Amino acid sequence: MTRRFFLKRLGGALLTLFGVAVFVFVVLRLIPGDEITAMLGIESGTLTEVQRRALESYFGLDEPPISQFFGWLGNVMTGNLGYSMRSGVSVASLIADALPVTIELAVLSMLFGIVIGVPTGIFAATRQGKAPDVVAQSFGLIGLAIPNFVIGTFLITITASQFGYFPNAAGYVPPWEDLGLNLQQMLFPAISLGIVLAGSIMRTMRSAFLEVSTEPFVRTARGKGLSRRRVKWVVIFRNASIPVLTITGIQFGYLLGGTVVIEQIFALPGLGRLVLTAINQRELAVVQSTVLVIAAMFVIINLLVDLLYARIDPRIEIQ
Amino acid sequence: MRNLLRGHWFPLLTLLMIVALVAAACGGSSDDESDGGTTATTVADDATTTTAGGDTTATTDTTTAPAERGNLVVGRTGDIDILDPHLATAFQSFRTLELVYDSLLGLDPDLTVVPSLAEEWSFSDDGLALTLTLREGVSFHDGSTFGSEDVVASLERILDEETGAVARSNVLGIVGITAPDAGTVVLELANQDASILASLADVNLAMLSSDAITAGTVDREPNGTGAFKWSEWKQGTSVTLGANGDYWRDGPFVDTIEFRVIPDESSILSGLRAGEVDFAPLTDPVIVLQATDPLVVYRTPALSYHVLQLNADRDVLADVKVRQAISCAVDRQEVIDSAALGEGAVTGPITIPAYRSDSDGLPCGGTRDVEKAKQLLAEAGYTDGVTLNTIVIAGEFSTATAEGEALQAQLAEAGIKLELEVLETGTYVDRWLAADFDAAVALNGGRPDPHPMYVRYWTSDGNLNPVAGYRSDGLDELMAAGQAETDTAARVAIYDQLSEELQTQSPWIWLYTGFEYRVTTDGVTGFTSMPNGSLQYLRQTSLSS
Repeated sequence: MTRRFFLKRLGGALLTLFGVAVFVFVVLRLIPGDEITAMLGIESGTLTEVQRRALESYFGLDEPPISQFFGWLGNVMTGNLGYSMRSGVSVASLIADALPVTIELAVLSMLFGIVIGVPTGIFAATRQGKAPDVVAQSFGLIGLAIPNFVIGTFLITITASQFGYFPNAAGYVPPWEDLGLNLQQMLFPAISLGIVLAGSIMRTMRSAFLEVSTEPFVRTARGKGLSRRRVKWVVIFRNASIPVLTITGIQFGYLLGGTVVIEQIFALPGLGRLVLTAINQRELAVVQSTVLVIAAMFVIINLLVDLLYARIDPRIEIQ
Repeated sequence: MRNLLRGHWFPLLTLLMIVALVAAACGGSSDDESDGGTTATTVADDATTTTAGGDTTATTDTTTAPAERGNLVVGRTGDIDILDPHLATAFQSFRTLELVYDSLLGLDPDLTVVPSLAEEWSFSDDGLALTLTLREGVSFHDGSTFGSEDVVASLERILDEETGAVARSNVLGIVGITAPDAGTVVLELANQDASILASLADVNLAMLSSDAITAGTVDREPNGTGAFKWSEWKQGTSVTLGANGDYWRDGPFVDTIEFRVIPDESSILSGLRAGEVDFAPLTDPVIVLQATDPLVVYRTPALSYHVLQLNADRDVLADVKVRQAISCAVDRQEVIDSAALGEGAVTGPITIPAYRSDSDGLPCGGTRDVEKAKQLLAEAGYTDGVTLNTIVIAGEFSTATAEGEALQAQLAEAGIKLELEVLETGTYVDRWLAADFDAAVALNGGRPDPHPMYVRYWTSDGNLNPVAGYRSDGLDELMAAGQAETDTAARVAIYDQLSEELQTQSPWIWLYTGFEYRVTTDGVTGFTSMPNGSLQYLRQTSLSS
C-alpha cells in the first residue's frame, strides 16, 4: 500500500467532511421553524417582541449565521461538540451514550446479514437455475421487499401479545450492566435489520459468484488441476467477495447512521433517534455535531473498505 | 460438505420462506383483528364509567390496601423537553412538571378550581383585588419553607417579559402584587377577571422558590413543592421522580415514577402487555382499541378539539354564506367514524364540561345538507364551487390526514374543493402564524376556562385573531362580559351566546372531541383521568402486583 494512495484517500475524506458540515448547517437553517416555534408551536404567535428576543438569546439564535458556523466548527476542531440548550448536557456525552447502542446494533445486524446472506448466495450460485436457487432467490427478494419496520412490528406484536415478552420496554440496558437482557433487547432489532441485509448480500454474492466463475482465470485454475473445493473457495470466492464487501461496507455505514425507524419501534436510544429528536426540537448544535460524527464514521468505513480492496486485489491501488 | 449442505439447506430455506410469508400475511390481517376488538372496548368502557363519575378507582376489585409501593413505569412517546415550568409547553413536560411543582390553585377532575398552595381566595367587592391565603407548613424539596415571598417572586418572573413565560398573557391583568404577611398575597387587577382563578391553576404558573429564581437554577434543578422530587434525567430515554415524603397532601403511594421514552405507541402497548410498563397515556385510537383485558383503559372526553379552521380574512371565506355552506356540507359524525374509528363526540366551540356548547346556531340545524350548502354557495355567487388551500399538520396527531381526506370527500359533493397540503410541524406553524392558508385541519388544546381558551382568537385585539380571521363587536362584548362575571350560572349563559354566535358565523368548523386515553395494567389503582390530560392524580396512584 503506497503512502500516496493513503494520503489521497484521506484528503478526499476530510474534504467530504467539510462539505457535510456546510451542507448540514445550511439545510438546518433553510427548514422552516426554529427552536422557539418547535418548542411553542402556534403558541409562539402569542409572544411579545421582547419575549421573543429573550428566547432567541437564550437559544443563541441572535448571532449571525456566519459567526454561528465558524464558532461551531472552531469548537468542534477543539473537541467541543456543543451543548443541548434544553438540558445543558454536552453533545459529546449524548453521542457517547447513543453511539455504543448504534454500533452494537449495526454489528449484530451485519453479522446476521452475513451469516445468512453469504452462504445462501454461494449455495444459490452453485445451483443456478435449479429449484434451490429459485427458492433462495425468492427468499432474498422477500427479505429485500419487506420493510424492516414491518418485520420489527410483527415480531413485537406476536411475542408481546402471545407470550408477554417485550424486553425493550424494560428500558435500554447497556451490555456492561446486564449482557443477557441487552442481547435480548438487541435480538429482534438485529433480526429485523439483518433480514433485509441478508437479502442484498445474498443477491450480490450470488451474481458475483456466477460472474467470476465464467472468468478465464477460473478455467485456467481448473485446467491446472486445482481441486473443485479450492477453485470454489479460493479462486472464485475470494474474487467474488469484492462487490460483497462493497455492499457490506456501504450498508454498515448506513447502519451506523442510526436506523431511525427500528430504533423508534424498539425504543433503542441510538444515534438515529438522537438526531431525529434533535431535528424535531431544532436543537441545531446537537444535529450538526451528531451528523458530523456519523459522516466521519461513514467516511472512515469507506476508507477502510478502500484499503481492504487494495489488500484483496492489489490492482485497485494502481488504478 | 456439499452433500451435507444439500441435505440441510433446502428444508431450512423452505422454513424461512414460510416464516416470511406468514409474517407478511399476519401483518395484513392484524387490521381485521382490531375491528373485531369490540369486546375489549366494552371491558374498557366499564372501567371508564367508574372513573367518569369522579371515582378514584378504575377497577372494581380495589379491596387490596395500597400498601405495596414500588416503581411505577409510565411509557410515553416523547421526552420532557425543558425543565423550566414557566417555559414548558410540550405535553410531556407539563405532565412531568405538574408532579414536581404545585400552583396556587388546582383543578378537580371536572376542571373546577380548587385550593392548592392557596387554601382560600376571595375577590374584593369591586372585584379589583384578589386575596389568597397560603397553606402553612409547605416546604420545597430542598427543605426551604414556602411563603408569600416565593409567590411574589414567581409571579414577577412570569410577568417579566425577559423570561419569555408562555402564560404571561393570561395574567397580564395583574397590575400589583403585595404580600402583607408570609401567609397572604394580594393581587391587584386592572379589571374584573373571573378567569384568573383557572389561570392560577396552570402548570405554567407553578410556584418556584425565590432562592432558585435568584440563583438562576430553575432550568437545570427542578425544586418544587409537589408530590414527587426530581431525581434523574437520562435525556431522550427516561425521567425518574422520587416520592416526596413531606408532601402536604396524602400520598404519594409509590416510591418512584419512571417516565420511559418508547417512541412508538404500539411498542408501548406491547410493553404494557409484557408488564414492563404500568401506565401509559396514548393518543391513537387505532392502538387503544387493541388494548384488551387485562389491560384497563381510562377513556375521558378530551378538552382538546378537532377543528377545520377557516381563514375568514381570505376573499372567498369572507362571505359568511360560504362558511355556512362548508358547515352544512360536513357530516361531523362521519368524520369521527372514518378518521377516528368512531372514537369521539361531535362538539361545538366550548369543550369544558361545565360550559360545553350545544349545537344551537349551527347552520342547517347541525345535520348534513348538501343541497342547502350548494344553495348557499350559489347565493354567495359561487355557482361553480370554490377551491380552498388547506394545510394539515403531519405527525402531531394520528388522525390529521384521515380527517383532511374525510372532509375533502364530503365537501367535494357540495362543490367545495379542498386542496390538502400535509406539512411538517415547523412548516405548518410558520404558514399558520402567517395566516397563509384558506383552511387548516387542527387539533387545538382547550383550557379549563373559556376566557383564556378563546380570548386570543375571538377578540379583535387577541394576538391570534389575525390568524382566526374573524372579529365582531358582538364577540368582543361577550368575551369581556364573560371575563368580568364571577357568577358561574351567569357565565354559562354568556358563553352559550358566544358559542351560538361562533356556530352561526362559522369562522371555524368545530368537529369533535376525542378521548384522553390512559392505559394501565390491572395492578394500577387510584388514578383519576382528567379532560385536560393531566397526570396529577399519579400522586394518588398505587401499584400492586
